[in-house]
Amino acid sequence: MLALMVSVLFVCQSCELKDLQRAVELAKEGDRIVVKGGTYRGPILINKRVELFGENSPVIDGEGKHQAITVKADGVRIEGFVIRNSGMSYSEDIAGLKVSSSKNCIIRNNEFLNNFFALYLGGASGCLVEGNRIIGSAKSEGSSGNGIHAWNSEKLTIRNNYIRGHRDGIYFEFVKDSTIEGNRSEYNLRYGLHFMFSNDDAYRKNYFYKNGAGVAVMYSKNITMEENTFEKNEGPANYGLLLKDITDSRLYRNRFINNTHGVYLEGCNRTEFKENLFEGNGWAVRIYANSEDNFFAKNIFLNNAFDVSTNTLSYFRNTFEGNYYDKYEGYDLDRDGYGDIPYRPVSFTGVLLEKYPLLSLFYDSLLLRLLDYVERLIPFLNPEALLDKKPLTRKP
Amino acid sequence: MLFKLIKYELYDLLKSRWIVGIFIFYLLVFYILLEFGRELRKSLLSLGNVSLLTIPLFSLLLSALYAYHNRNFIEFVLTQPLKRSHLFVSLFLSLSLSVMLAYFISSFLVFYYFFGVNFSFIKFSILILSLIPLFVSIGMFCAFLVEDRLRGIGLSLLLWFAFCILYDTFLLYMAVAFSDYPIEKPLLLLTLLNPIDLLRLSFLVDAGLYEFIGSIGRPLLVYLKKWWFLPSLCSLFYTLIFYALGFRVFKGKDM
Repeated sequence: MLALMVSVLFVCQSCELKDLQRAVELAKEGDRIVVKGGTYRGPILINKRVELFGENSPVIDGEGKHQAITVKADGVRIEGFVIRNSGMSYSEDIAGLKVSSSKNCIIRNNEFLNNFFALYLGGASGCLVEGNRIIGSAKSEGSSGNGIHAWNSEKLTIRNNYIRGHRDGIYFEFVKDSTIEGNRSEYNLRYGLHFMFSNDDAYRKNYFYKNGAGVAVMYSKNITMEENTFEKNEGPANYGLLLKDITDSRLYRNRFINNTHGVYLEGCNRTEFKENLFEGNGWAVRIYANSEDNFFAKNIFLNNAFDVSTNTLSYFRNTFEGNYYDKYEGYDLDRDGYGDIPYRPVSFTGVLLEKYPLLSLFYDSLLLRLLDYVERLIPFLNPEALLDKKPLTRKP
Repeated sequence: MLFKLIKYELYDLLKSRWIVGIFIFYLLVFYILLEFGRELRKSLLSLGNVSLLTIPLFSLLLSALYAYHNRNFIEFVLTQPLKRSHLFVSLFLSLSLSVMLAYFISSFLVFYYFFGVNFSFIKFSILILSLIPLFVSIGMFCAFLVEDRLRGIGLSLLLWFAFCILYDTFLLYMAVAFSDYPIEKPLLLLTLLNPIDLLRLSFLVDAGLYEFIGSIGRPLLVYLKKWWFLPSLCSLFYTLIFYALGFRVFKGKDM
């Protein structure tokens, strides 16, 4: 019965139907179109609920001029295609695949090559983007687009994709109630992941490696960040994770490894950092004075040049409690697992460098180490409030 | 004749308590450092830190003390028909060689025990060893410049202090006092002029650490990664200067 209502159309070079756009026109709502291997020219417009399946990776080519596929209908499914060579424009957002104002699309196991924007979701809702391989060839920030770009959307799931060589790997603007999970985003020109004005989202188990400026989460509320890895984001204005104007968010069990800045907080309020690992960073945590009521517990600090650094000496309203610092030299006589003397995660050198960045020339010199040592014996400069009263004595 | 002199002096030095002491000191210190930090990159950095502090001190003190201590021997040799320059060269070479040997063998043994043969270690050794002739020449210069033994040793200690801390203190003060002015370049230049600072920075660059924390002089310091032996050449240059100065003093000395 169902087979009678939903028919399957085949498109291939030797079939009756050779043109994909024609197949879409012939199809009824809910039909399935199976596309065999070969190259098909864009632009293709999908304006009804159809399922497109690619067999043997058929290529849809924008020929450097057009948007390869545009979806303007609900419930569209696109699987197994190679989408390449979209046009480039300074005035329009041309994409390899653009989904606009539609619900419940599924975009799975496609390969996006050499597009301006690879996948563009505008006004989408309930879409699933899974297992795609997105590879761009971005040369400069101005002339390149984002890998997965979502704008004004909700309830998206972006899972297990691989993104490389775009401007931002994944970009969210006005997107809510969405999940980003298990993606790998690397070698992008700007940010591996970029959030703007997007509330109530979560990203988990992603891997961000060597992006131009790391990962940025800005002007958003209620974001959950869990078990992500931020690695090797190096450079003076480069951050493992940049948090700007973020409130009521959570960072649990993330790993920050070998970044210039592990986490950089600017105007970040009421956010919890728990069980994160900071290893081998220049500045593990750098907090601007306009960040308040953040809570750090059970984090591990290993081999960082500076564990915590801040530009305020008097007004500091964040709490550090029960973290592990490899630089802690105290003792634990009552054997409760917490050191008996408090730890000051901000070093004197850190304060000096914050004020006079030139002094980075003397990092690790005998002079600065002596000053640090003296400051630890007779504290005179540290922000009084920045104190971990219960530093862990053993690595959790 | 020159080789004969070097041979006797080297023989004398190598069985002295000083050289044995240096050998054992580095053996122990390096063993402890490597035992605790088994990671290559970090271990080299901490070895570098210890060496940058102690190598100049030991070289200076040993050469100054040796020159004072063997005053009789030096005067005796000078009565013989041989050139003053030969005597000076032999003293310089045997002092440098003995410290270099003691340092290199002890550090190599420990390093080999933990990591095996490794190019980073060879690089590291070439950089550090270049400090020894420099400070030996400075020590000899002090010893021949100042007649009084105590004051001579005081002077060499002062120089060590100046190289290791005073110079940086002065620059740090400058950086803070003139922080409103564009002093990046002069400051960087002045820092690189001190061979100890130069070596410290090149270790940091080599360990990849400077990329994280330093924003100033980054393009320049990248050269240190490519031309890693430059600090050695720089030390060699200073060595020549202090050697020439020391020899001038030695030649004009009435003994």
